[in-house]
Amino acid sequence: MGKSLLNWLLGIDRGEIAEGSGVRLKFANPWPTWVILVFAVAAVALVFALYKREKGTATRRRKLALATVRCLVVALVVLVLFKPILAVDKSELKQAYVVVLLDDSASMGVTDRYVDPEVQRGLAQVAGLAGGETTELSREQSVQLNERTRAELVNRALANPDIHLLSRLEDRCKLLVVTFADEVRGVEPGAWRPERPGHVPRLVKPSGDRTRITKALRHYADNLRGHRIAAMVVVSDGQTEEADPGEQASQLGILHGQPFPVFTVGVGAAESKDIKIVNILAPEAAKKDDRVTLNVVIASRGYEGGEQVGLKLFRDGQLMHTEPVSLRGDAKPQKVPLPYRPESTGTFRFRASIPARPEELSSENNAAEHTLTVKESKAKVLFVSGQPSYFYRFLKNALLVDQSIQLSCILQSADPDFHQEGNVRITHYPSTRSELFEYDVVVFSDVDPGSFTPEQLAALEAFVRQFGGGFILVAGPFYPVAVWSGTPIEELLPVRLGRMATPGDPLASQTLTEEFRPRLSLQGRNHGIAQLARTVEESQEVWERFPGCYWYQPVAGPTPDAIVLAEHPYDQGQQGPAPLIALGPHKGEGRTLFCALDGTWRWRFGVGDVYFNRFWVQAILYVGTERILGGSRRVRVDIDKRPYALGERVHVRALCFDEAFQASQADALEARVEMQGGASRTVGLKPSGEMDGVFEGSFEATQPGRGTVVVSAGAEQAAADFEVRLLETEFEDPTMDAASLREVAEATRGDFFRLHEIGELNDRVEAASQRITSEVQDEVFDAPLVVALFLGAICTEWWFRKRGMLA
Amino acid sequence: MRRGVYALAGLLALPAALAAGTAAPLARQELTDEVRQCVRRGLEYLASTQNRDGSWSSSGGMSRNVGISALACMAFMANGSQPGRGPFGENVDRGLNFVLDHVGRDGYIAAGSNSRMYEHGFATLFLAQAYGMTPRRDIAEKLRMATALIIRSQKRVDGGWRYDPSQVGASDISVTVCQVLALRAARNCGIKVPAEECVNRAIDYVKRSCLPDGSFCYMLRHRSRGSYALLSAGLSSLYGAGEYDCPELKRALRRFKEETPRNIARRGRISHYYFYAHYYASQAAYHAGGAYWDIYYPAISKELVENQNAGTGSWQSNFGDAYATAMACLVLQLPYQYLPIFQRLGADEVTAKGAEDAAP
Repeated sequence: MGKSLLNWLLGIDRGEIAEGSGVRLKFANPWPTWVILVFAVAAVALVFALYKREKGTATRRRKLALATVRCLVVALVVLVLFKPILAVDKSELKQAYVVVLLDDSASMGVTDRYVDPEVQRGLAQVAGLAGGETTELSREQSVQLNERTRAELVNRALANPDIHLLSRLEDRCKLLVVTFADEVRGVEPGAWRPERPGHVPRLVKPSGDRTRITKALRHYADNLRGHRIAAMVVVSDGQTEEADPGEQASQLGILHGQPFPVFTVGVGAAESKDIKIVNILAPEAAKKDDRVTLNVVIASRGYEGGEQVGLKLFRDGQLMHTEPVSLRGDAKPQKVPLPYRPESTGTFRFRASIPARPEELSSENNAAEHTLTVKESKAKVLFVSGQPSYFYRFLKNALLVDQSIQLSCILQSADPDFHQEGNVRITHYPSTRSELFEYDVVVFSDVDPGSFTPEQLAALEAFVRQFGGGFILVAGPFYPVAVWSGTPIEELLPVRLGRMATPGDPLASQTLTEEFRPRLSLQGRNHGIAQLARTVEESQEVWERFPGCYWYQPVAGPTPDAIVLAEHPYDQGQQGPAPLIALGPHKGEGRTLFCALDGTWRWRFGVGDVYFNRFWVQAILYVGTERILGGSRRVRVDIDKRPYALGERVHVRALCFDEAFQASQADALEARVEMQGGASRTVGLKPSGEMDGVFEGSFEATQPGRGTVVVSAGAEQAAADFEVRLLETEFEDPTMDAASLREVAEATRGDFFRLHEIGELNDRVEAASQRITSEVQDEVFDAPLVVALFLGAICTEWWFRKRGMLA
Repeated sequence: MRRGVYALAGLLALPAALAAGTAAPLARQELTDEVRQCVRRGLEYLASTQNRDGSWSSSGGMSRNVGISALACMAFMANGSQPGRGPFGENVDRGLNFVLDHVGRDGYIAAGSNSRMYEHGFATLFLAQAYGMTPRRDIAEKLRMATALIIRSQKRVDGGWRYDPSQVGASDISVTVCQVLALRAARNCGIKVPAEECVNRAIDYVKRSCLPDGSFCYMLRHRSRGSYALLSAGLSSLYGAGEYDCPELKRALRRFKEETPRNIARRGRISHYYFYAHYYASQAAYHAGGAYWDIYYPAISKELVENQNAGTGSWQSNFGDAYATAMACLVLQLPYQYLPIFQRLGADEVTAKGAEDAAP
């Protein structure tokens, strides 16, 4: 009662005062001490001086009393100006939240092979498969343990009456139990309680197709803002697709407004034996009778290295080949090349698999598939040269007899009535889009830019950008490439034009006697165009044996997205070694290549056509890939990725042109989606707005399997294959990812436990849930007591003055 | 518009050329260091004896001869030098100047009174090899003029060529081969060579020169058995004219196979037309490929290396050392594969269809 009255007088309401804590008077706006002293002395002196001079009937003693009261009033006013505050420690016992997040992704359905006897015993005990006193598991107990999925072990551990993890957490905290994979799902309150002794509630039911730990943590950190979180507990195998989970976890405190620890419990075997076929690296399309290499990438771990397995290659379900493979065992990828020469056209499904071994953690990742479309078409090449250079003469002859190429030549310097050469002879450079778009690749070798109309150059740009055509520009001394500056060709090149050498410049007119040998860049060494022998190493040796060149066309440098295949051994451009052969990324739809050398024909030395032809045919086929292997030339359809997970949206993008090869102005297009063995449906595509002729739309992948999206425009149609897979990523690497879980815990000052150590969590989470003491501050300048004192002092002085007959 | 990651990105592994590349490189093993040094010394001899005007002084009345300048410059170019490029680039430039300076208003390339259509043919061939490899613009015009002269000089009576640039009189196979190869080279540069009126008549003349035993007669009116030089000239004419699969070629190749061994192993007995003969014999063997080349080249290179003047690096002949040295260097450098006129166009097909059939 006494405390309440005092609180009322002071105008404060601080609830429960912490035991043993004292009330402290503070000032929000205190004056410096010397100011207070000066003011006090001055005020007292002034008050007393005034009262001393006061005339009236008051006695000296009464004047002294009045002066004292006036000083008190002044002191009270000064005190109020100081903004007095009463500070007191306040204690609250708020129940903090504990969120237990249980991973129910598909990988929790994996059964592990536990090797460490101590881990085995611990797991068997927390899962209730062995008593607490067990020192060594029986064979039966080991088998039982190894047959339990991760989810079953978690469910059993949570229901273990010897641990009582959840019930003990609930005693101290507000307990939230949720499951998560890609999204979080709450568990009904109390659903985790066993209904009877021995009952194990199935809290974790493996089903989710991916695990996103920090996404789930962020969800609750955000939703529980304003509430204290004592801890979050994540029970998972750590198989997350998220990048840098530790870094993301370190932001949880900021998101929530207060830091909190995350305790992670790792489920599953951290070290195990596994053979995984990562993927099959191979072209998606090839020509009949070409040599195709299916590179099967294998990663194996837990093996000593050298173990022999049989890699089986199936085509459309039929075993084609079994390749003996010696495993590396160190988890690093190893590439197994399997050559294949398609003898017929069509679409073939290849499957590479290694039979699962008994000791393997997972057999789900022992196979990979690849689809190869085989076509029977030649690359249609238009080869334009300004002069009959050796490059033109040798390459023209090489391409004329190459079975994969159909050639048409234009030699600009030729006589007007000269019969231009080629498998298909033409009389002039294409003057219309329709004529130009008959080709797959256009090669310019030191051509005269003045011989082209702006419309022809614009058509060439469209040929590359919109219709996937390949374009190669080979420099020469007659027409420096800088003459292309400001033309559409400049934008297509993978180099920035700059410094130019005209025929009158020293570079072009002096006798050049110094040889230089183009040096392959790191990218060039591994790029298919530059592969001139069976292996990268042999190819490198070939390049190093080439005779040098004497001339090259300097340019400012490669564009940022260019791939420089070969560079000058010592001449520098503006951004490093001068580029000699540069490959552009897709310029729109097509690909481009720039060669600063006019002397690649010198690679014929002693070997003739072998390497010179091989390089240029490879380059031509590479830049022309889109059109050589593409379907319709007026309709293109692409999907944004493959494979898709079930439920994902498949985004379709179509490029459509009318019969004059102008961008389609249609209001909408329709795409037909056909699933193998399933019904087809129609998806509407709308103009993207990005550029004319581009249409976009999407649909949900509702059925696992392979499908095709077909877009039609008039008589032409184009198709793109896609595949919908179920839960693939969850089994790519089923080993428990202790590192990610440890990162999350350490980033939040929590801790990492293995499932067999889950009992230790009881003590750790308890320590995080405590009574909270905080300082509460109350301003008292307007408290009733202060007002009463002020009024009391004023009234007392007034009364005394009246009694003393003072003015 | 960017096509995206799902574009057809993996064509790298499949070029047909790689499959074709299983064939072994042709002649790397033939280019021994000894041969290369021998060639180098021969070219250095030519470079050191070239006159400032681009010509060569030579014995046998062949001084300041456009034909020798053309052959010597082609020897430099067969080594990889070009006008203005390479260790002999300046020599080629000077030789080119000399030849271009001697292109007459009628297109006839001649210097002095000794020049005949041989020299014109070699000079035209040289201009065709230099065309497109130097920014100078006068080559095209003068090459066209020289080519036109050859076309104009084709004999009305038989379709071949003879010493003089006129249509009157009869032809011989020896001059004709020079003109056929010059026309072939000019045509490869984009210069119009009438097929019906010129090429077909020339082919007809060469075929008619082929005797039943596979040899070639010197002139049609003297259908006597020809020499190894004429046999080689006839074969080169057929290859130069693109006749890779005719009966005459097969006959001639059979004859060539018989004649070659005894025409190489003549150490110390260099004939009057030795270098001329092997200039064309080497081309015939090279185009025929296979066993023809495998037998011919090691033998001729061995012989030429042995016959090279150890002191000067030159070879000798009645037409002067520059002529012999240029011819020898051209023969030895065929496997370098740097001159377009020597490119084995369709050589694999030739080997398969023609030469193997002709082989006994």
